[in-house]
Amino acid sequence: MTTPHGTTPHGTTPHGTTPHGELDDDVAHVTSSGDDALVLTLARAPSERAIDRVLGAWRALLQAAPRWLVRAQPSYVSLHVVVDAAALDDGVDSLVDVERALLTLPRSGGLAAGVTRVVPVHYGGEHGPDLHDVAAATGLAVDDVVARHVDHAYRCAFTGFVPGFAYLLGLDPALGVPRRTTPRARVPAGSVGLGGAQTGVYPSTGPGGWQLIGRTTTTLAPGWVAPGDVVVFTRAP
Amino acid sequence: MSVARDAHGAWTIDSVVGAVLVVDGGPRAGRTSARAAHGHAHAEDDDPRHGAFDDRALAVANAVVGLPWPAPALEVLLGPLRLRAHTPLVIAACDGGALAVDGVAHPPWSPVVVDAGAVVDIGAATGLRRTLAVRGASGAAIAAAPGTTLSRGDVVALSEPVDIDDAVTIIAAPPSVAERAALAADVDGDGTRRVRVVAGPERASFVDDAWRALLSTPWTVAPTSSRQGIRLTTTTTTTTPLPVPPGDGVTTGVWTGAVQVPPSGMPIVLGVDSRTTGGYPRLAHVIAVDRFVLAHARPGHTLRFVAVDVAEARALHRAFAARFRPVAPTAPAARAARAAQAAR
Repeated sequence: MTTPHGTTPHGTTPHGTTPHGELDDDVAHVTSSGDDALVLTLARAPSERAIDRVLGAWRALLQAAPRWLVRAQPSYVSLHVVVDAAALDDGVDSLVDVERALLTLPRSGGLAAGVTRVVPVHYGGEHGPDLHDVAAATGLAVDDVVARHVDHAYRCAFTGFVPGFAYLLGLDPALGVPRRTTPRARVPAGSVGLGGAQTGVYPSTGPGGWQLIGRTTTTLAPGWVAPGDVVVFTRAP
Repeated sequence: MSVARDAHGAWTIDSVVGAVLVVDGGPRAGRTSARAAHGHAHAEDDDPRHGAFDDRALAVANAVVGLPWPAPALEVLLGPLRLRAHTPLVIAACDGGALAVDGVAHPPWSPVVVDAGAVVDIGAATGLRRTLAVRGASGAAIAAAPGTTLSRGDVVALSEPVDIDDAVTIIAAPPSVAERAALAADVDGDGTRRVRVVAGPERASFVDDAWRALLSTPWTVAPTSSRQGIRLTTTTTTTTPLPVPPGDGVTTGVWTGAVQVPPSGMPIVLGVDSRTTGGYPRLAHVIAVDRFVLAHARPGHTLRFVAVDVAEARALHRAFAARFRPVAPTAPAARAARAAQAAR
């Protein structure tokens, strides 16, 4: 519970088209997550196309705002939907109706171009205590690590984990580094980190296992970034 | 954090041991849907925190005093708590424990009328938390945002009336003695608490021995547990950590009750304030009607997981909801949500 876990896509997945206009990696099926949540899976593997499908379904579901909707959390290949049993009609298993509703959601166009969010970052030193470790782990010079991270357009795939945290697409694969062996108990708000094949900013102070390469003094309140937005890190003056 | 200290203050916290948190029905059925309907789904939806950890106690307490789901209530960690009423109130304290008004004892799980000037004593929790619903005579709910922490001396206002006709309707009759017994945690003679689970989304990626070990192990609640999650350990030297599937899971949405197994092999049950995404594989999931047991799990308590199937779990949840969360007119819930937001 201390870092945004899991893997993220890097590179692209080759697609072949099918007669129905969907691609080989496209799927659409619903599974259970506990007794009061369902998972709509829309792709076999993470890709920009997968995000576009998941966010398409997510936006349509929020727009429809069915009474039974508690919470919908998009992620790389699926949409996690929590259902309020009290708002369902009686039936043998009325979640069947919810499953049907999820499967009929439109699933494209979710990754619509958003606005650009600029985040000025102080790289290295006390702000980025792991910058030298990252350089050592990647075989890059310290300046090269920063150069590959800064002034680059990252796309916000979705938000989640903690309020104001954005999952970003587009990290230079050369910057992929393992998380720290032992997570820090306290990572300051605004810290910019690398973990696995991901980069991101901790919006609030808390425990964390990413390698910290810099920090922003910009306040990242919940809602500062939305799926589809472009995030650009710049060198703080 | 201080709250509104205006002339409409309805009650004051005289003393408290532990912590008092304003909670509500969480993102479910109120906050998320209301925001989605107004097209502002992306911002606050990131923050599903401050729902009641004991969501069953919240539902019952509010229903018996006449507040529609998901109206706010108080979650008292440990206790005791002493309140002083400035205006007439109707209160209900849930999950056992003592309740007295001006020294006169009243049963839990039932509405109690409190006169202006009376002193209300909420006894210490028999588990870890107590839930206290408070409404004003005209149907007003607590006018403090979920997530607000209350301290000694805080004067807490009541919101505008939330009832549809400003006439208070008791939403559900108080639970009978038999129902109260059924609402209590399933505790064995040796103090072990039973928690029912269904197979988790990643059950198939674990070896069968992991599932068997999860169900046969008496798990001990670790001191690092919180509203974010209940961390489990074992005290027996014969128990080995659960075998964990290889590889790193893809980040996905997660929800209260998920039983994650991190590389240590010691499970974590996600609490009501858990992260909204995660990647640890989920071996099991605590069913909706048993998540309240997690709210009352003290460090050192023993939990044992019992497997049920999804259909049974859903039937139990529907039966509880039909009794204590009957489908109410939309208006009161919407007004409650608005009142809570206006108070932020």
